[in-house]
Amino acid sequence: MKNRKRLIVAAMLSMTLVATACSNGAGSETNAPSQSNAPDKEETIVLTINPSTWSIPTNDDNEIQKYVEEKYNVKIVNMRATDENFKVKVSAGEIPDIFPHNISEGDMVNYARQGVIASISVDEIKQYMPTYTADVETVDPNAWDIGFYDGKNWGVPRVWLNGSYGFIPTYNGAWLKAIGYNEAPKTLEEYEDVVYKFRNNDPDRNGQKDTYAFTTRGTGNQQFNEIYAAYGVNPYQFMLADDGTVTWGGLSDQAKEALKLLQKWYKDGVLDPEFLTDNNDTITQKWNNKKIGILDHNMYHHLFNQIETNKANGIEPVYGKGLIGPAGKSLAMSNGALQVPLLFGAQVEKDEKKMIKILQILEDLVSNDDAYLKTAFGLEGVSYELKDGAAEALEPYKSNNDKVLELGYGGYYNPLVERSLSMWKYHFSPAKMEFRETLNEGIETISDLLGPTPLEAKSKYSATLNPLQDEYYVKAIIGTDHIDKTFEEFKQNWLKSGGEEMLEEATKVYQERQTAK
Amino acid sequence: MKSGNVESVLKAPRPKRSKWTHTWREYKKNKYMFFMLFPILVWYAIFHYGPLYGVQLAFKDFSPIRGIWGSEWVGFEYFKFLFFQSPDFLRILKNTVIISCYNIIFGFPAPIILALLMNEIRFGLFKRVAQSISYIPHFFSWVVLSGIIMMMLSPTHGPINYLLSLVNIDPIYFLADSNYFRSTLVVTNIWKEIGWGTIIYLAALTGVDPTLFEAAKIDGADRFKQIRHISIPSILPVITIMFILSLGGILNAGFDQIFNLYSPTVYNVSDIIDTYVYRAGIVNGQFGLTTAVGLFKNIIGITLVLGTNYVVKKMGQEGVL
Amino acid sequence: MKSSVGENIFQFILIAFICGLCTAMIYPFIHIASVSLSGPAESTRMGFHLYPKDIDLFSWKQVVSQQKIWWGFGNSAFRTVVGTLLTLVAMSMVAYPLSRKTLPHRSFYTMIILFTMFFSGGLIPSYLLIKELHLMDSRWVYIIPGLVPTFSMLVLRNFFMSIPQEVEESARIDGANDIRVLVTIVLPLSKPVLATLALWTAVGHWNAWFDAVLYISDQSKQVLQFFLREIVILNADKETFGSTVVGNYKYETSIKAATVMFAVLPILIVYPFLQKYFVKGTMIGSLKG
Repeated sequence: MKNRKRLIVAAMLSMTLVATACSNGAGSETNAPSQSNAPDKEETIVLTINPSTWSIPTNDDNEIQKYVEEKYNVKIVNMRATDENFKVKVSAGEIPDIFPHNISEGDMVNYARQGVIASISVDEIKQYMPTYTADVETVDPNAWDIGFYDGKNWGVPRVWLNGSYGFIPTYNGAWLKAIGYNEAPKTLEEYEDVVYKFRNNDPDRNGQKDTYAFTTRGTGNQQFNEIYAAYGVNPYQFMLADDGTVTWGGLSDQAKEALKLLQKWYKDGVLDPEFLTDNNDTITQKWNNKKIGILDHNMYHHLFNQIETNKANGIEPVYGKGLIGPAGKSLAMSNGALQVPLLFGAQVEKDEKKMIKILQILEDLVSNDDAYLKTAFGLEGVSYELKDGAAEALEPYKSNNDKVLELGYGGYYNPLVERSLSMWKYHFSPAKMEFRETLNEGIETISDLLGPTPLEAKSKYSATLNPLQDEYYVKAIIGTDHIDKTFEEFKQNWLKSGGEEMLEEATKVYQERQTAK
Repeated sequence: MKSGNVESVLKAPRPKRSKWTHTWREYKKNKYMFFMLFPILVWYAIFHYGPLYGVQLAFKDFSPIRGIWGSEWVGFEYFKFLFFQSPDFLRILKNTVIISCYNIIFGFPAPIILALLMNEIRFGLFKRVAQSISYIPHFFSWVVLSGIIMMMLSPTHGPINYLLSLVNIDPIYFLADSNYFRSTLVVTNIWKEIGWGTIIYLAALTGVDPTLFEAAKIDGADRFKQIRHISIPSILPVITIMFILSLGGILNAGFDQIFNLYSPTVYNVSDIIDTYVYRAGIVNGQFGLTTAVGLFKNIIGITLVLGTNYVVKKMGQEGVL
Repeated sequence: MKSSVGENIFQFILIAFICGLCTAMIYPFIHIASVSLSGPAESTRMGFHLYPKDIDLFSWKQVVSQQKIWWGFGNSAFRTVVGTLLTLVAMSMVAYPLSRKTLPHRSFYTMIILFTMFFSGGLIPSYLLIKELHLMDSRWVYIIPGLVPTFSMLVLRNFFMSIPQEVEESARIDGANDIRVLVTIVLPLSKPVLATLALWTAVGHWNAWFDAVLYISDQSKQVLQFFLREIVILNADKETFGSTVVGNYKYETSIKAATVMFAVLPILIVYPFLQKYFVKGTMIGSLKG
């Protein structure tokens, strides 16, 4: 009899299966209407959100979620997708109402084409988010360009306020003194001297040749920041060519010259070979353990947060400026403020009420001080305190990210954290403000000519082009080939693999924008 | 003609009915067998046949909103793209085959040699302990082992580079230098599996009739002659089967190992079909393309397995299937 | 036993070689263990680490104080134990009928099952299936979708086929049905091969992570390998989004080592007990059968 029962269950299972197969399985579950107990009261809207794929609150019943739910009369469902399963979930029809903040412009184009994300009119955003849009337009009047694709706007524009600052070269003060420098090197020649001496002259005086000047993030658009900046180029960004067309930094002669220098350094053994796979964590570890004496991947706000750690480790940091090199002036690499907009699931487009609700919530989160402070910094007296008008994190939240996620504050419930000019003040104590001003004083930055502008060719080819460039650049640095000979070959290869199409599109978009102004 | 037809129509059901009753009886006789078998067959239907409809994605422009059935047909677009346009496909196919071949050329004989050597050890206790130790790496995932390997091979603090520095060789970054990465894969794979691989050969060797060795000794054959003329021939059938099996898996170059060890700097030499499928799907969300690649791999895979199975049977061995 | 000088030299070289090999097998584990017990400076010192110079337990404290590591441990243990047991039961349930030539339409059923080894529908339909069956975020997703590993099942079937029919006869004469015969006669005879398959399955379960990545969002249901990957391999560059947390990146290397050791230790502890199942070449039944 038991077996029979099992049979029936199994048969039912297979039938459900057939049913699923036929019913596409698409469509988000969240579209189901939610019940409301009090008819006179506004209906509680259910929001399925996935604003981040890596800092996801530990529990659904955390303080901040409760606060947001009560304040805005919504029910929040956390989708909890990670980087590794977000795309699968979307493909399986699990589409969040609010998308993660780290969607690339290429993904945005694909999602727009597939009908996964909602288009919203600029006017609607301006209507419901007046303060925020005014803020955004103050920072960059071109902010709307990024969300514009196929004749429509695809989300709420975002400007990352810290993004416009540059990467500040930082040196170990004691090491500089040990090799006879009283201040940070100013030119590329001085820097080269420091790089060699940090490797060869035993700057930590431990009698062993176990130090390197610096290491860097092996691939991607933020490697060898100081060196490329001295040449005035970011090899992973668009830049303006002399003839007014848009070109790719990685193809420029400046980048080629920088590669030659790096190849020489590698051959002379002054480059940490682990630069090939190093990342933020390992670089910081090396700095803290005094294995390297230069940091090139931090902006002022990272450095500000490191002050205490440095003190505890007995490191006296000396902050420098962009190196004067072939580019002729002091430049610093920068991300640029513009970011891919905050995207919403296609179901939101069809649900006007929900759309308006989301926009209203977002506006409130960045214009209501109390809401901003709660979502960005947590509970006053518990996770932060206000000092001189700025929020300062308290222990254990200050140094333990798990605690932060337990309480639920940060950028999750407020995806516009650090993107609102009106609330920016809360991030700056007088000390931090001063730090920011001193460090960034007189620094001119290099950033992408087009920012994360959605380009069809970029979404199509960047998965091929970037590895192609990574591969050549790494080979050029650690290999012994004559870069003068191989560079041209790489360039042609890159152009042939879709690069040409990408540059044409980029030039077209750029020139259209220029004439529009 | 007509009457014959009628006759045959009238007659036909008879044997048929008896055939059905026969089958019914057979099933009834085996009812306990089917009580066991049936739930598992249902499980196969659900978990293996259920998702098969997804293969159509290889020919469709997949849109999450329209779902698998509702997406538009694009014919052989993906295959055209893969074979004729994509700069990646040839590279991943080449890498897959090259890494597999390296693994076969170097990784396959390694445990055989070790087994033959182990078999010559006289001290039983030592042999057993050595065997047990050599199995250890097999039990750990590539996640764990890659953590270990990264540390061992680090150019700044790894002991391997320390050894190299003692003989004045500059540090080599085995995991990030495309000149060394494939060799690193092969060596670490051998390290992990060599001990475990010996089990089957050692078992075959213990089955060899000891009198053969006695006879050989009396004939004055030395150790190497004994190995060549007795040990190796006696394990040859096992070697053949294992070899053919490994040929059948030539398109599986070891996803777990490569995925946990590689980095963008070595994609050019280590990106294999499975890692490409992972990135194109999980990272870029191109599930139509990945289904097409998967289908291609499946078809090659089934051809290889059936082919090798046929060869095994031809050689008079019992096939794997 | 008389032995010549040549023979002794041969044995000596052989043993030395094997010793070297065994060192290569276990040294990395010793290295990791001592690094995990070292402080920041010592843990990144170049060279060999045979033992920790000054024992610094900071990294271990960090690792064991993480709730998720224990969650992972519990879930991995669950899937290994329960998953292996259920797999053995399920495999026997299908391998035994398929091993009997008297089973009607035997080759048809075998083909149906064989076919699944070569084709799969891909990630998306599998994902949809799991979702429809409500296995998302359930620990059963670790066990049910992979309940019958087809290759292992075939190995078991081949072994069952090698058991002569006559052995079962006496029981059948006593009126025992097929299930009884399987349980009381066939399975006890198959202990070595079952042990082997159990070991394969258990190792697979303990080391699996991909299903967890796809199907589990609830951290308390995650497996150990998932967290390991997070800590050891994926230390991705992530601008901590809107948060002011500063990591103390001094112990990075030794924390990684301690995490790895945390996953290594359970296996090393169980290892001696499992060993007796495969030292004497009992595994052979599995592949030769």
